[in-house]
Amino acid sequence: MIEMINIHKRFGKNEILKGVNIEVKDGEVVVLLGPSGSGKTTLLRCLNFLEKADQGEIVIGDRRVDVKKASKKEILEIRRCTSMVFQQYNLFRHKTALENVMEGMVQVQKKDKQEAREQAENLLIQVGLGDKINFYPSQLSGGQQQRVGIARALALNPEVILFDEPTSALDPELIGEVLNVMRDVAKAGKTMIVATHEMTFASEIADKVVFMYDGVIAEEGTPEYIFHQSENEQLTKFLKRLREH
Amino acid sequence: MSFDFIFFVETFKVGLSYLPTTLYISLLPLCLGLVIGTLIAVARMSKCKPLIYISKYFVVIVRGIPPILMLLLFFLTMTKIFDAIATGLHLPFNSSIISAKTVVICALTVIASANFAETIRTSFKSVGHGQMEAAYTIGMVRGMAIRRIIIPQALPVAIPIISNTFISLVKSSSLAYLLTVIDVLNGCKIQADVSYKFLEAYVAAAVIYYIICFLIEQMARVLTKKVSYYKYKSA
Repeated sequence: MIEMINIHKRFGKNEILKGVNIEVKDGEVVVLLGPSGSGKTTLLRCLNFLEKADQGEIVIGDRRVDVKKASKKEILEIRRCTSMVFQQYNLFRHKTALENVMEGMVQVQKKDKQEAREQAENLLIQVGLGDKINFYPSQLSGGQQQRVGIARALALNPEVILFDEPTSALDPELIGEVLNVMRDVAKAGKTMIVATHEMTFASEIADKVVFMYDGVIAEEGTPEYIFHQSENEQLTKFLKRLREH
Repeated sequence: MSFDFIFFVETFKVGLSYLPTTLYISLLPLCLGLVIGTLIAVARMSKCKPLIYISKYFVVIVRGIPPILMLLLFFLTMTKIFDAIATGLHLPFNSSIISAKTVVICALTVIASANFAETIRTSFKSVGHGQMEAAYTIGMVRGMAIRRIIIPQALPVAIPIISNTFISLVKSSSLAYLLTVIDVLNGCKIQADVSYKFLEAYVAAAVIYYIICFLIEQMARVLTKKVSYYKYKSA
């Protein structure tokens, strides 16, 4: 189980997160929804300490960390039981698809190289890139790069995978292939927290949808509730704007 | 206009015999500059405000001074400062142990340090913060991320710039003739002082400098290829 309790974060004068509480059960897929600037990305980045929240507690499994007092060791532990898929993929440009997936297993988890290689190959086959394992990121399309990114995140077998708007930088015709891979990951029972604007995906895959507005959680519930029943004013406005497009 | 080809060849040979001196007063600043430049770059990228300011202004000031002025400033001040320190500490020697070569090496080292500091900093920056973040999310600590992810991507950017700086160091080292150091240029010039065939002597020196710089460029090209990954290999 993952919990973020009373998370506050400000950048200079701008308070981005104003006390967010969120709970994710094992195997659950939680979708973060909300207008840009509402704090979705910052919330994800606070969870794995890419940003250090100013206040609050983070719980993953039996690890409980007060962000204010988090030691380097605790931060590393949290990072090692989470992984992230970035909007801009952030694949290691000097490494092939296979090496990207293997890097964490070999260097961080100290797995045997041969074993890591086999696992990495399997993962790349799983995301449909079995024929591209020796390609460099610059030789792959955005959708392919993002699928390598997902394979890299899966390789570490983390307790939760964080998806930071994984399809926002993609050409429309490439979004489908990435969402398909994410569906497979969800069906395999991985715990996922996904910041996205893909409503169909959210309603189909999410166990819970969290609507963020202006640094707080304005509404949360099942996809059915969020998309059809809730009468939260900001949410209905937001959904209306999205549907108009 | 006449060109004494035989004298040119003779002078070329003499100039070549001073090649070790030219290499000595440019290679040493290269190596020292890389070390000091790295330290300055690290200081600049640190979170310590005073260090950031010191490194920043060092680079700005040094890069704004022409090499010839740097050399003269060092020549005028170095021995005096050294003597003052030696007397103050009652050391058993004085500035007479500082040769003209040493002055040149120190001045060029300062110039190289400032340039390399910028080279190293910008080539690190060119890798982009996303790579560091990706390394963190797969559980790497800072040191490992820099070693395995950042440096391999910064090197193909840095090496061609370092080679450019090295080439300008070799050329700047010819200013050493002002301080009576006998290097390639001065070696050739001395020949001409006797025979008054300055054109031949200067052309001979120019050819030697050209060859050195050409070789450095080729070496840098090979080295860059060696450390490059796909993006650069294809380009």
